Amino acid sequence: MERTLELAEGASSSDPEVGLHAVAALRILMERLEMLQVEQARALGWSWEKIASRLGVTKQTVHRKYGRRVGRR
Amino acid sequence: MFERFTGEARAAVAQAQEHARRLGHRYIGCEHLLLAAASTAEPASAALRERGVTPERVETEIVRLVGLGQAANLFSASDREALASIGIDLDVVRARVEAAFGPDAFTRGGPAACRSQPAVRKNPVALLRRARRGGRHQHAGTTPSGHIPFTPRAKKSLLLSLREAETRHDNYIGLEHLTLALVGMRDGAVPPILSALGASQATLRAAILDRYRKAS
Repeated sequence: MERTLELAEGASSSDPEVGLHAVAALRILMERLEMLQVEQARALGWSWEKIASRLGVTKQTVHRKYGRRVGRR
Repeated sequence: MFERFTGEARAAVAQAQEHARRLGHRYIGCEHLLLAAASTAEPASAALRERGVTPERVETEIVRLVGLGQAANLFSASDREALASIGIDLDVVRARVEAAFGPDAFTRGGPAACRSQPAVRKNPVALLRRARRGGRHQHAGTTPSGHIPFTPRAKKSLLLSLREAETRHDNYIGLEHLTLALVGMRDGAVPPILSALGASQATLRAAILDRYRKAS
């Protein structure tokens, strides 16, 4: 019984329909978390450089994405 | 340019904003303009309705495509299931995020309404600028009030309606020009909506032009 369930689960997770949907939803979740964290970091006085380095992106990237929204506090 | 819009065309644009507001969307897109364009007493609207592009059916497709507004719909039930399939319990994530960032962390101005707006999604600055506006003019979790911005593509469709008027040597921008511009859109929400309703863009265009040829 358990084996059957495992197989069923395995089959469903390799279904691109579900898998791609999960990736898309994950991207939305990630964007939302990134926005919240960047906002928070700016509110705490973090520099764009420091935020960018923790995110593993360039300062320009993070500033282009959030500069207008978060601004200087 | 807007001063050249006829009363009917202006009313339709205003109506599009009302539709956006009613559906809880934080932007006015081509889909809202199409919904308004299908609803008037003008010949262009009649031409749309005769070919199955009725306000009811357009609205159904908008909701199917974009969802109802409010950031509460940031994740649909199927998103939830898809995330669960890779071991992420959205409710747990949500509870923790809300504990850290406040109860509106998932719902305050954000990319929710932009999900089926690829042009905007490609441009994070525009997206975030819009999100910020949403936050300023809107009480969280209620129907959007105050100013609702046009998407860049909706603005483009208004510009294209001017082109339609110019092409036809009309010195005003009427509902027929707006409707022609909308049914001619190559991207955005209009093509999938029309195709779901089984209406070809070329046929609609010809039908609208035919109406006005007879009328003049």
